[in-house]
Amino acid sequence: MGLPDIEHIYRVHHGFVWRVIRRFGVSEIAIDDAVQEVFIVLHRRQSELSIEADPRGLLFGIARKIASRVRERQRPIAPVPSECRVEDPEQRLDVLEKGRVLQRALEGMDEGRRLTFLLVDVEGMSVPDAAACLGVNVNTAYGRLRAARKLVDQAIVRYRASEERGRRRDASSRS
Amino acid sequence: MLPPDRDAQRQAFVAAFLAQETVPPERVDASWIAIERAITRRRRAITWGTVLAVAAAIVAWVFLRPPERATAVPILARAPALEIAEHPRTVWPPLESGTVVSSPMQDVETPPEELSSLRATSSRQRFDRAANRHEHGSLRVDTSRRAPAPPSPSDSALAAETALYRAIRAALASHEPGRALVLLEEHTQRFPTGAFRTEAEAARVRALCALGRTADAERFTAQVLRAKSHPTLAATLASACAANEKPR
Repeated sequence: MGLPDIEHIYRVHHGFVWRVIRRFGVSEIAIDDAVQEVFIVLHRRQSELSIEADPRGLLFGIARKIASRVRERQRPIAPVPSECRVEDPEQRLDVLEKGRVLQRALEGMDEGRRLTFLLVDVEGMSVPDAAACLGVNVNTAYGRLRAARKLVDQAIVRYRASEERGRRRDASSRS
Repeated sequence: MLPPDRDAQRQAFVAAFLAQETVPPERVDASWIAIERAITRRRRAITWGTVLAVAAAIVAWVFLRPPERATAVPILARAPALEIAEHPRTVWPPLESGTVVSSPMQDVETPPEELSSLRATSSRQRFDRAANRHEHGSLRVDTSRRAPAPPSPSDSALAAETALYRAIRAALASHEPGRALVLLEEHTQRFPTGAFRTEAEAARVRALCALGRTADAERFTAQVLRAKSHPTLAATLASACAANEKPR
């Protein structure tokens, strides 16, 4: 059985690696180098890949190690939101605000919850796969996911409440 | 509070978050080019490393392998006896006519009925015959002791004594008894227990008689005969000094 093509894996999972690296706190200027390093290491460890298996587990493990190595070399810089590619200005504002809400909610979590939420709810992995990636028990992963979702939901409620207050303020000023 | 469709709400926020986290395609392509270069460099390094390792292994095998001749050399060093056994005529020195070949013939197991005929032939013929028998396998020839031995010190001393004795005899034959006496003194000094001592004593008696020193010859003869028996010395004295007595 042949080995999976690295370029195909790169095209499909570049975004995943990029976000994982980013979530691990690697600065914007170092992200591309870190992502490249992940795929070079993957090429070296190509024999560990198989056609059927999801490579994201392996990619996550490599990305985690590389991100921690890059982080040691850099000064801590807060993640900068990347360019939003939504064209419509109204929609773009909405996307930016919602994205920022989730971003802030993730920053307020501990690493275990944040990574579990990212892998399951953002990247679409199953909970057992995410647990394997993180090296934790499946029940622990479920517990972390529930706690993370609760924090995200609370952040959304706060955002909705502030949005409602702003709307009322606008309405009273108009009347 | 979040409405009952909170999962859908959360998914909307996740989608907005992902929209922000999207990487521009040109960055993706640029990144892949860099990755491809690194992978190509690594492949080249592996290929060249393998080639160099194989080349080094070949060079090491060619130049550093244990020499196969190391085991063959001692065999070759022992080979002269073997070669002699296989090619006795090419290895042995040529024989002069009249030379008595004793040692090879001692090693040949010769049947008694052939011994008389062998004695009747020359030594060269005997040697050739023995070699022919060896080639035909009828006789076993042990050639391990046939290698010419280097001359020993005793051989060279004997040669020197022989040369000196020949000079003494030549001096007596050419009627130079004085020179013969000088050479005899030298012989006494150099070879006091030489192989030609008995012959030298007789020569001394002849030289003394030739010089007319009969009394000295008689005294010397008596002195020698007191010390040991000499089979011919008295007869030599009588015959050599008789000429001195006739004129009287």
